[in-house]
Amino acid sequence: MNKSIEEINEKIRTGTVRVVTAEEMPNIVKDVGTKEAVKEVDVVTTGTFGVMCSSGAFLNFGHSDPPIKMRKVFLNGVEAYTGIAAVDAYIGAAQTSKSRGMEYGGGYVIEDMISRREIEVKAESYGTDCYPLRNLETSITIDDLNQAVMLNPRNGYQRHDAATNSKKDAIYTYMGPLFPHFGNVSYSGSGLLSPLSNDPTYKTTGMGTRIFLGGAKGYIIGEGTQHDPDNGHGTLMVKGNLKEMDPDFIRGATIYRYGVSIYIGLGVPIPILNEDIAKSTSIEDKEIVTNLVDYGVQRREKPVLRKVTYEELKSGCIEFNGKEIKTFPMSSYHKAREVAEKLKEWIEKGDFELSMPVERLPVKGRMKNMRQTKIKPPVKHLMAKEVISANQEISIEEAAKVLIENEIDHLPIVLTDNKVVGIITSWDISKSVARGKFKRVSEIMTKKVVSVEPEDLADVAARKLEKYNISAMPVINKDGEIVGVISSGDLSKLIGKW
Amino acid sequence: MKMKLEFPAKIIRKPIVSEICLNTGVLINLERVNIEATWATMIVDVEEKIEEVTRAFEEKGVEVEILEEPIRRDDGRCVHCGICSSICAMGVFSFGEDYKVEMDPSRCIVCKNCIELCPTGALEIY
Repeated sequence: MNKSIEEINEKIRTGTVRVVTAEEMPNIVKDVGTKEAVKEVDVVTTGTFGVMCSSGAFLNFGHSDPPIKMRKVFLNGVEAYTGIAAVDAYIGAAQTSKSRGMEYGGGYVIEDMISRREIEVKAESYGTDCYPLRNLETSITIDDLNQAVMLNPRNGYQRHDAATNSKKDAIYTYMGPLFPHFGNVSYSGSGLLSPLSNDPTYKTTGMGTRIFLGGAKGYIIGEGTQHDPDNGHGTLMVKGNLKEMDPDFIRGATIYRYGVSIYIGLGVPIPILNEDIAKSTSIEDKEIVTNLVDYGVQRREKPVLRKVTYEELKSGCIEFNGKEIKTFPMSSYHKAREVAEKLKEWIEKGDFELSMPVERLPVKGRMKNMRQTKIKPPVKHLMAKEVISANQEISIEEAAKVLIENEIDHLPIVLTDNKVVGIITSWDISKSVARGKFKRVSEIMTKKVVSVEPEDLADVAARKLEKYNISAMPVINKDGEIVGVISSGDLSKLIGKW
Repeated sequence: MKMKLEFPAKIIRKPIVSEICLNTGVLINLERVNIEATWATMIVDVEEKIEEVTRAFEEKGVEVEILEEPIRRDDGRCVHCGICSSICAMGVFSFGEDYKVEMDPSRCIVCKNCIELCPTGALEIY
């Protein structure tokens, strides 16, 4: 039996439609089979509620008197893009506040707008004959705007890699804090409730599909950026009317030491037109597989450590290398459920009709990497390869002598097998001389040594020196042996050269 | 019952916690200790004779604040993602019914790690 969208919409209008969430569908299909499920169920609602940085809104402020062609505009101190017409701007969710940094940003401005709060507007311009005003300060609410259209270039990832960290330092990423030595695993996405996991070949999802976006009706307007169907990483570009959205389903967010963003509630209804669709919407968490990826490797290509299912991720811990690792979600499953339930309610009440896409999302294609005409070299090509080191039994005077004779500031302290156990700087020696009570370098050396690997790129090394406020560090290979020392001086040689 | 103790500069060097343990016979669990040159604060857990222990500390010149609920959540901002559970070593946060994040504030030792980590700024220590 096949159904049409029109038949389903007729049922919505007459109040006889049967809607279930993607959480309920697996059991229905298990109980009655796909053939009966097509007869019984008309629509499956999906939902996700996650951090979606590639989001924002187009705003039109109306004209001031005298008029201004906004060259720069700040909303509550957050810059919006104005490289378009005079009083149009795009506020991006991931833009940080000029004065408050990561504490506030575009995502919060959007939430404040939806919550009907006053927004402070500051704009500047160069002045033209038709737009003479050069500076403007005012205060608006969303209702003062002509249009406020949420337009998100990339939302609703089909599935997302899970993240962990093999390295010895904690890192703070868009996947949250990742503790050293595989200390935890973070994941994102709602698994069996995820919109594209329920329609993995985009049979009913495409340009023109009416959806739930931020508590209002919205639309899919095409494939999202980085749409990568060959790898099962489809994405959606969506739009909706910001003025109709609900702060319950949009929330400004700060990802610790990463940046500002926004939580977005998004749900796609899937019409059960045939058995294929009934089957794909009966997917369960144990069937949704993603990669566990090592974010400790600060390169584009990160090692995939194993495959992992959403059932494992949601259980709170997964097994890796014979150890149990705690998992935590970046997205809210509780809110994802609310989205799917709300969408179900709308359809049942006759407030929301389904639409067939005018064009399906591309089912083929893969994401490209950036073409880079200049790539800075790895650390191994920049470091001092002749390593001057010492063992931990030498005295502080001896260490001072080594530093002076070799005109260096950093002295790695190693064991006989070239494993680094500490590092001494000329500053450490000055301090110990001033205090005058230490004898051996082992007493004063820094034992928690910051290091890089030979294959790490120059920018990764520079970021590390900056993060730990140091001027040099040992380069240590996979076997834990010291193979060089890299300093800020070595890295600064790149300026102008690359 | 968790207590926040503030020690003024002049009594920092005295073994006040030990004295009170001995005098009252109550076990005092130190959960967080911060001793600086001119001040010290401690979060301690006391399971019995709360009033007697409080009085004993106050007599020694220590300021005592009872932390009935050291951590608070703005339920209007919380989205129940569960990132807080990743950093909390004390197990304050856990997933409960309907995948909501439930809190057991009595386990909180006021390390404040979750405060900065919460993406929506829903958590507050008082």
